[in-house]
Amino acid sequence: MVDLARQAFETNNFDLAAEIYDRTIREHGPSAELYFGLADSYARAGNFRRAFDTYSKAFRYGKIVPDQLEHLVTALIKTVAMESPAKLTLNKNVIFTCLICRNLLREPVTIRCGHSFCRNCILRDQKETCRNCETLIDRPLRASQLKCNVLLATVIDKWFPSEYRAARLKTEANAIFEKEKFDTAIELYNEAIKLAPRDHILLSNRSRAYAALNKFKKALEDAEKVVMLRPDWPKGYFRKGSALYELGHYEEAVVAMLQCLSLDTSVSTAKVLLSKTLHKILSLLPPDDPKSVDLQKHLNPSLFDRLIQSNFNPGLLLPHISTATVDQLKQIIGDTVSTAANFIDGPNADSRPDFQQKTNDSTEEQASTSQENHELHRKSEKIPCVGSSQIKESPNVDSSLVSKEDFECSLCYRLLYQPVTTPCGHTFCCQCLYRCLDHCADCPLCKSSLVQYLAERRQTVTQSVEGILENYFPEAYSERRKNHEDEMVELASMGVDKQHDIPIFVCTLAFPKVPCPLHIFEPRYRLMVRQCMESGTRQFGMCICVGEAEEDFSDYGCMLEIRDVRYFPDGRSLVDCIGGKRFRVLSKGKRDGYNTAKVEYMMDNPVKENEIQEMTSLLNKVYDMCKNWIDSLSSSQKQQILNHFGEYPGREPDELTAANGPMWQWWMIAVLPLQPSIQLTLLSTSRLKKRLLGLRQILGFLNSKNN
Amino acid sequence: MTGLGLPRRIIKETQRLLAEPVPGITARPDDANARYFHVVVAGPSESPYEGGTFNLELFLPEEYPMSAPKVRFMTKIYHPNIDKLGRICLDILKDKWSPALQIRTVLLSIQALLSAPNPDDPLANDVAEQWKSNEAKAIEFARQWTRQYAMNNQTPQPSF
Ligand SMILES: [Zn+2]
Ligand SMILES: [Zn+2]
Ligand SMILES: [Zn+2]
Ligand SMILES: [Zn+2]
Repeated sequence: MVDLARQAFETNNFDLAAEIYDRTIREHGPSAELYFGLADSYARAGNFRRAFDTYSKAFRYGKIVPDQLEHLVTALIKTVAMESPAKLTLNKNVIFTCLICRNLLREPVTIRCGHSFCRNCILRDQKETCRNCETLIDRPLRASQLKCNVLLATVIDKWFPSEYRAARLKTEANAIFEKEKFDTAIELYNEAIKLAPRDHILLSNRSRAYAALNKFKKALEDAEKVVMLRPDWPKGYFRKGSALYELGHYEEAVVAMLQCLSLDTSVSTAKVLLSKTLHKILSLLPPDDPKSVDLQKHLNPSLFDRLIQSNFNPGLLLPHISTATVDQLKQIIGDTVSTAANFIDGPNADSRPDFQQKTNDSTEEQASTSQENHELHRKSEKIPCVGSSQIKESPNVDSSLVSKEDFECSLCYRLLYQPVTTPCGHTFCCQCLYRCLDHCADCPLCKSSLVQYLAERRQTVTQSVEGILENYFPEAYSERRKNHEDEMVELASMGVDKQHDIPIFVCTLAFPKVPCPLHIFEPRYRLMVRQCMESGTRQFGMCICVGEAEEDFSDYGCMLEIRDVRYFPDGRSLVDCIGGKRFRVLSKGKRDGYNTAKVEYMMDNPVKENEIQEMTSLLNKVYDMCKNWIDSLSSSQKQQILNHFGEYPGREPDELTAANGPMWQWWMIAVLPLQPSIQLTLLSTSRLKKRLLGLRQILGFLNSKNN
Repeated sequence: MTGLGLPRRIIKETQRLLAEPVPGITARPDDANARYFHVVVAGPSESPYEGGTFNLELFLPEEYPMSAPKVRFMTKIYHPNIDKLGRICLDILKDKWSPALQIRTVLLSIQALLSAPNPDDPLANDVAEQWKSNEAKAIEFARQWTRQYAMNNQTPQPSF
């Protein structure tokens, strides 16, 4: 029978197992083993009330060691585990907080996506994606490549001096703790906590130090503060549970361990302590009443009681971090924070010895702690945070330390706008940096190569710096934004009337509706194209050079509309354009190093009524001449032309009335081997007839040469 | 940096130069052209130019700060890195220019160049030759030129 029960248990058929054990006990009389099997079955089936009852009976019939409670522990953890830690809303809107250690950024490094982490945190972290935005991180990261964000580091250092001092004290205290000089360590923690009273890690470490001195009441006090500051941090509950265990408050200790495990089911030290605590409770329980009066004297039995009553409903464990109350929590904590004191520390503080519980435990357990610590450390990071350090994300800073000058772009001398940080750690306005990169792919400040940065066309704004600008310089930053927008409007209004300049690319001649691929490499034209794209106009004027000087561009030109831009890694680009309106230059100007012009758009004079017949036959004649000329080309010549200019356009219904006449004539003017001056003459006339006659003459000449 | 008028950067640089001038150097924008600066550099002490005051012109081209300021000595000077026309051989004015540099850095570099001539990277070859073959004599020449051209050569500037 017992074999049958075991079999059922092993195949997860716990109800059946319970039934068989139960029958066996009734038929053959009770034994520790049978009660234990029955209790395990109840536990694994999720019937904890009965399980506890039965375990306590088992305890009456034989000696049971904590390790034997494995199934109870497993079942409890399974029941209380948060379905998904994502239930907790993680405040990702951080400025000074590292989302890995969830403390004040220390040696901040800004990664590709624009989020910043402590240098050590991002190096050690295993996660393949950014904790803030899930962008893939190029692991393994190389320490030598991770350069500190100079601006951010300087500001944090300047704005949070006491937190920095506290962080240094903490490192010192942790080292002293390892040397087992607990009293000295506590003194240092005291000093650090004075500077940073809301640093949960400091409090947690001091709790551990008190525990090491058997001052469990003090240890509990600190642990309770930790849990209050960081209700989402499993280690806080572990600290609390450990202290409660030592103080003999077993039921509360169980609750704390379950809280810890509900946030992170993998904390082995908590599991061990949970089975030890459950063992204590069960040894004390009388067989008939799992909730004896004896236990009522312990703290908060009601929660434990309620847990059993509710069959360990996890909602009872951490009701204060359920999503619904997060906002409320933020409010409470946010209101009480009057200084930046909640930001501190770096990754080291979450230190290795932190989890070494000095207890009377077996040596076996101690041997395994170090590894488990490590594991816990890692796992615990995965839990989203609603903790204090993220709640007040724009702490008040001594106003004498807040200086706009610190956030001035070293290129434009204005407040940074859309700040981007290079891999070398320097921050500029995105626009300013890219303008420099047009000229040279080195960092303007330190001359590090930005070839790779440029190749990736990375333009992600450094969130922390933008956060600072928005929160600490709201007026100046919105004014700066407005300036930028005004500049964009200015660029966008190019050519809307005769007062607004259009950018002029002095290069070749373009013609209406004829494709014109361009290779952009000159810095000023890179800028010009970028501005056209950013402002959304996507067009510029194309003129040809007619003199010695750069400003000597033709008085007539044609708009080019950008259809597509493809960038080379070095910042050059291939711009696919197509001709638009023709224009006449009214006056010339300059902007940002390139030419501009005030222009008047032009169109053909309407064809007079009495000329229609003549013009129609002229159109037909010239069209056919063009076709003949194309047909006379060798197939390789023809292919070359088609590749560059597209197919020879067909006839259109409105050839006589269109603003620029038929499309095929422009195609022809672009394709024919003509002097630019002749092309320019044809482009600048507003008489269709003149162009057609010109074409006829040219084609006649070319055809006679061919024949 | 877009927009009409003087870029904000040039305005700020000018203000700061006037508010906190580089010791030994004055730089004053021209009344008619804010991109044109009248610069006076005092010859650094313990250099052959000590006691001299050198007039320079500094011009910020349209592309500034994407391209370097154009600087020229107006006062004749005997220096291996400065030619007869007053043009200066200084890397940051050429290929080592970076938009993060500024008028102030340029002026400081020019001052440093007067303190430490570099005949191995010459612009005025005859001067550099002299400097290399007989430094003592070259320095004597430089002193002489300083006395001759760079002393009592200042027209009183209107105060501003
Ligand atoms: Zn961190
Ligand atoms: Zn990110
Ligand atoms: Zn800028
Ligand atoms: Zn750099």
